[in-house]
Amino acid sequence: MTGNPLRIETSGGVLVGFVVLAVVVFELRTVLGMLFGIDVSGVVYFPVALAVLVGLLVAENALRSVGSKEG
Amino acid sequence: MSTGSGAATFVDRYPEEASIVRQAFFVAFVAFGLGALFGVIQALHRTDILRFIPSTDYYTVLTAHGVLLVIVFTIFFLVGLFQWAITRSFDRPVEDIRITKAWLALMSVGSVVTGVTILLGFVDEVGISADVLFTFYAPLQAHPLFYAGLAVFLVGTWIAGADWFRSWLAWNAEHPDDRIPLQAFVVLTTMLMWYIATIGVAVAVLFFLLPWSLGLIETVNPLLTRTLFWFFGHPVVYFWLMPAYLLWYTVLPKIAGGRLFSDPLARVVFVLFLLLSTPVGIHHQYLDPGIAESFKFIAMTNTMFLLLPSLLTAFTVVASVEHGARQRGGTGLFGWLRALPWRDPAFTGMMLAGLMFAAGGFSGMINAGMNINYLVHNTLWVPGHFHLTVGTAVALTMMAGTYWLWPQLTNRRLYSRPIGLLQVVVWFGGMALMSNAMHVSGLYGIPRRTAEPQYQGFDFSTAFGSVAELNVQLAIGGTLLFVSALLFLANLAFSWGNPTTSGLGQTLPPALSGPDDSPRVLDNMRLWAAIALVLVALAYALPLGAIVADSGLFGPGGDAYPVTVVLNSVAVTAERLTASVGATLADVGGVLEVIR
Amino acid sequence: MHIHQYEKLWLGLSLLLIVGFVATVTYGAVGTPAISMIGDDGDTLNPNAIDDHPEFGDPGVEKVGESEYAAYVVARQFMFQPDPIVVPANTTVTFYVTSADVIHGFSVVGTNANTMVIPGEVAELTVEINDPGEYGIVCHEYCGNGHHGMEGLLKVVPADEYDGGDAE
Repeated sequence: MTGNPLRIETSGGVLVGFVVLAVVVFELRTVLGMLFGIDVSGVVYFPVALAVLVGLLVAENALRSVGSKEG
Repeated sequence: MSTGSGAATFVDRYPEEASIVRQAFFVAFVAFGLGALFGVIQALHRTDILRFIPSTDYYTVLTAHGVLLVIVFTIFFLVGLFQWAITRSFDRPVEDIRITKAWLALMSVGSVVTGVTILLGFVDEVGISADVLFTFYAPLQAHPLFYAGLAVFLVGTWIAGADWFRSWLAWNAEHPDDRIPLQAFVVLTTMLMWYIATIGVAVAVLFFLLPWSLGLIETVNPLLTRTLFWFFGHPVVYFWLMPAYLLWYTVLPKIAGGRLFSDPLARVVFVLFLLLSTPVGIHHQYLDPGIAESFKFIAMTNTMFLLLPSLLTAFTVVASVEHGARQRGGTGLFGWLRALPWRDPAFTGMMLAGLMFAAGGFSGMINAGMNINYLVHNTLWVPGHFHLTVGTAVALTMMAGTYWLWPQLTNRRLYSRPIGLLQVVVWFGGMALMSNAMHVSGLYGIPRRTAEPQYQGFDFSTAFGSVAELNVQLAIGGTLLFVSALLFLANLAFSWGNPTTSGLGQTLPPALSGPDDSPRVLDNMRLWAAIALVLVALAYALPLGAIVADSGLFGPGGDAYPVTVVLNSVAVTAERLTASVGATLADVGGVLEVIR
Repeated sequence: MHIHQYEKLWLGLSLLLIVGFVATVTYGAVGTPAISMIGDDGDTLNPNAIDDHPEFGDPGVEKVGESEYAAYVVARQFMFQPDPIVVPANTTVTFYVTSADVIHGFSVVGTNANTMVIPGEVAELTVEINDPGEYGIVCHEYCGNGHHGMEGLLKVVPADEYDGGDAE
């Protein structure tokens, strides 16, 4: 599998995945508000969501560099 | 993409045709840049974040934004892409390059005339304006040159279609037993759909609106011209979409590292679009008085069935991409996603466009629901919807496709792939913000197409958050989109400075399940065109007949409402306009020379 | 023609979804009396002759039956007549809306009382009016360069406070 010449390991997928996840998390507040009537203050929600997402990105980055050292 | 397969590029093999494609793309991208600028002005203006034009000029901006983006940008890109697809897939030069140049010139002249007429709305002294928006509903009346330019543009597209059918006939004479190549199949079915669709707008413009604006007839029937507009107005959205589908079906699988899953199913999809695109236009008129509920019901049913080809496309495209991922060594139920070339802006752009198209499809299903439509009709929900479809599925795919196609047309590498990737990702994020804000605002009843949706007598009540917060979202989203548009244009402009390189050519692999697996009847263009016409007649003969029977071909009376008072005599304005059009054409001509 | 079995499954599910949509919309439009669709019931008239029209010449609300009212509304650049439209609570009101000039929109904000207003055509929509309150009315179709100022008000007053005619 790793010998496949077409396979190129990139972090492009991480970027795209992160952006798609960010959009999903962003839309989640709309879903809560429109469908469930839960009004979450944007002033609280967006900073917290951003912090969680950035945390995930940092963690992913750290894990990947550990993985590549072991590999 | 950065390393070519070493094959000859399109421009190596067909330099004259490549020049045509480049020129068409050039016009498209100029319109795109202007349209994007007008877009961000609106996003900031209507949300009251930043207002630097008078609100009366907002409608000039809105008309220009609509016409430049969904008529000039999309359709010039389409003709460029289709010319490439026809030449490439038949593997033969155009029959007569003069004809090809002629239709491109006609389309350009028409666009410039209409575009200049719209933009003169900013200059009150000239007394020419076309602030009638993209839909130009009578009895609001634009300057005659607005309609005339549109007519010239349409004639150009008709000749373009004829040019491609001529290529098909010539190819067919030499390959009588071959199946039509898939790309050419897309072009031919799409153009048949276009011929049928443009009947509506051509009749509206040539028989009613143009003579009326020239004073040759006194009145028009506003419901009739409106219905004729939507006869054209819905299939035109599929006309925008088909270039994106062409790229998704024939280029995306290759970039993903695989092959198209099924060629026969692709043909079925495009035939369905030809058949069902037009007899649905009345779904834009669910709330129109004077059209019986039963006709609206027929349009609703047809619209729902029009979901089918797009749902089939979702399957085929995802299956093709998954096949590509597994060819690249991807494994697992979802693990194959990691094996895809996410760093390639062409690939990522098309995938994100497809993802947003799914969301846009769902909001479109809401629009199509006759009864739910009452809640969202003409609210900001509707622009929220079509910025996902034409504004992302189509526009972002076109940009992504350009990243792949540009080296084939110029023998030059793209200036920067990382900037390209950033650009498509910013578009996706910006559109998520803007479109979400628009959809939610629409549910609160905030109308579309208005400079100041802030009213004296009442406030909009919200289910959560606040209108102010939605406005900020919309403005940030719109600004990000504008930044993304600038990144795209700059990346392309800098690419022009790259040295020419040989060996950038790319080939497109055949489908896993080839055309020979499908019945030959799918290639019978005459048959499908005939069925499409019958369906259109069934859907439209009675409603149009009823409208004419109720209030006559020219309506029950009523005045024309020119969007500006014409201050000067027609002769003087015509003279001034000729001068300014002439100057603009000279500029365009000069730039086209450089591109060539 | 070879079709992969997953694709057949997908095709079947897609058709099921489409038929489901058509069924729910049909039920919503035909099966429930709560939503009346805009149709071609309204008359046609010459927009230039509106001032001479028996109803639209002096637009307003009138009682047409036991807790049933008819509201005649004229939309013109850039206002609605009458403004405000005053109706009593807990009644059924049929709006007849037409235009004196160009195409307008008429929507009661936050409700599904919504129609296009096309010169020459009379839009007819019947609305169940519940609790007292004030609702904004917007013109939702571009109608000229003053479009953004075109608004109206629907006042729903308690039945005992309703004075039986135009509030103007």
